[in-house]
Amino acid sequence: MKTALLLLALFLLLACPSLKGGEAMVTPLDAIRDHGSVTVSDGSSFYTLRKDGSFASGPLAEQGRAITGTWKPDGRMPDRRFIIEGNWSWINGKWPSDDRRRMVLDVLPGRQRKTTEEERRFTLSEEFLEGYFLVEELVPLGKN
Amino acid sequence: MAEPALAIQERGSITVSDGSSFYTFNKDGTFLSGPWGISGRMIEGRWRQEPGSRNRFLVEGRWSWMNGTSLPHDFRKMVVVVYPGTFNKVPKDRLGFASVDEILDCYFIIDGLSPK
Repeated sequence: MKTALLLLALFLLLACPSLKGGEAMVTPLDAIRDHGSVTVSDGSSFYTLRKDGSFASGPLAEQGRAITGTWKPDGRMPDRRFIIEGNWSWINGKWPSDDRRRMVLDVLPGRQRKTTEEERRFTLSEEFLEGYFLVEELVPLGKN
Repeated sequence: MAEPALAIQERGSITVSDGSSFYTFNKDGTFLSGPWGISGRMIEGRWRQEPGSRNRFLVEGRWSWMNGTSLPHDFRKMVVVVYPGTFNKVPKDRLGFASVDEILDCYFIIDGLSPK
């Protein structure tokens, strides 16, 4: 009986990829806790939420939209929704000087993967959380 | 490099993707977005070009969740800015619910999203 249970446990471990080391699904908050930050990407931009509450986004290219600001969990879904408030700007281009906005990101669990050499030309992140994520809201904030 | 607005007129539609979702702008003014996977956010609505802009698209539609629960009347408006890009074939195993052959591989951003 004991052997059968051990074999069953071994089978489940081998059959379920999410239980294998290195491929486990990671929540954004787990990644922030364990690595100090989490970064997701839509292929055009990266979005980094750091443990100290700061937020940064920029293009995965020589030019494009940049965001610097802060983040906090959205009380409605604190484990996956994040409220970002910050300054919108444009790297290597023109943009209004005081473009403050609020954005809500919904980040579901995913798998961490190493960033490529090309991606590291534009982001300091060594890993991206690959999963499903959405912009849920993006509205202007009042002037400072 | 293909200009998005011109490509819509010439090809009948364009689809861009952020890796999680696809966003399709059809020539008849309809707009559709959905997840690449079997579950996720859906948007059904209409789009129009922002006056005076070549690449800013205003989308108004109904937000819902495929294979999940969502509010019945979640209407929102969204601004999508799409820059010129190149068309690439979509791998068949990635098609999901998108009925497209090619996506416009380009830089694009969501520049506004609020309730309607």
